Amino acid sequence: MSDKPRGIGAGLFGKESGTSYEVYLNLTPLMDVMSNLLFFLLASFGATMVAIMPTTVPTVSSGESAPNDDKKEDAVNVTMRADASGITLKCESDTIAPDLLKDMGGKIPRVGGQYDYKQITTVLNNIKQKYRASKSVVVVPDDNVPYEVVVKLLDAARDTRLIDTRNAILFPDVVLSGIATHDAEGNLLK
Amino acid sequence: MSGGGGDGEYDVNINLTALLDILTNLLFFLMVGFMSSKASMELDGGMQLPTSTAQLEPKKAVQVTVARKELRVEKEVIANLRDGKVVAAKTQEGKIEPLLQRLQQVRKDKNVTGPEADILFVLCDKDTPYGLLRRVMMTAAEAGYPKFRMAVLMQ
Repeated sequence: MSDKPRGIGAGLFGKESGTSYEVYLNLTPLMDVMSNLLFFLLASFGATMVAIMPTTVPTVSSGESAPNDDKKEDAVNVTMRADASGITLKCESDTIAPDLLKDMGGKIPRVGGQYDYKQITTVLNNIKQKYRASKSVVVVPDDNVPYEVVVKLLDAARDTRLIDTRNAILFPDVVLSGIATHDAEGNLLK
Repeated sequence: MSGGGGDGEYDVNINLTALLDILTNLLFFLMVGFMSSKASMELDGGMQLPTSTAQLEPKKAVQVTVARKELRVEKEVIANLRDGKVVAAKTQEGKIEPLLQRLQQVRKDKNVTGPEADILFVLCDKDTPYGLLRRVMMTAAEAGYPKFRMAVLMQ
């Protein structure tokens, strides 16, 4: 390629014209359209930030469990009943005497017409601190409790976000109760 | 454009090219993010999901929607709802018969195997009474879907 400089109006492929034009593109309408699109997408993007909460239903096993010689760490299963008066927490365990668990649960009354979610997390956190292998909580809401409140109860049971910014995991296995009507053989549960 | 304080008029051309560049980048970023959403879901006009601190990303599964006025499997309306109750649909021992039949059919048609086979993706309006949701979940468990992914909005 030649190093000879090209003059005014000289293009890559030879002289095109003797006059040069400065063209100002009017970008304002394009800006307008793009801003509209942008705001629309921003609004939709916020609305579709959907997450999931995994839950299961109780299952019934007809067979006897196989004996396990391994020494297991003590764990408790917490049952959380939600009714009009408040939350009742009850702890049960296969390996710990009921007398030791009697004082761990209790009743958490409503405050200002709402469940005291922070207190629920605090009580569950105390249980978890004492029996670290505990993982399961069975939530038993009344039929008239709205789904939104059930989700808040599950949130309060799952981690310590409500009371602590460090956010430790509490009871990751959540079971919604009052669902299974039949066992594996199709027998009606009482 | 007229500039104050003098006799002369000034024609000011704002250079929008740089701003346009930023907007284009943002636009493409948002469009790609919008399209790569793993699970697509359609919410009714009046339906609202509850907010939660859950962080798990949604994964595709058979979708059941408990809206304010209707119960749907995928996009098909199964039953109408009024005041948190199923209207004009057969119920037996708490189960919702049309839902049970449809889910059994879907399970048969899809023929999915593995751990994803018994999971249901549930979209439920935040004001739905638990009694109705319980019946939906109980029916789903009967149809072979005992595990649920409950859709919520991230807080």
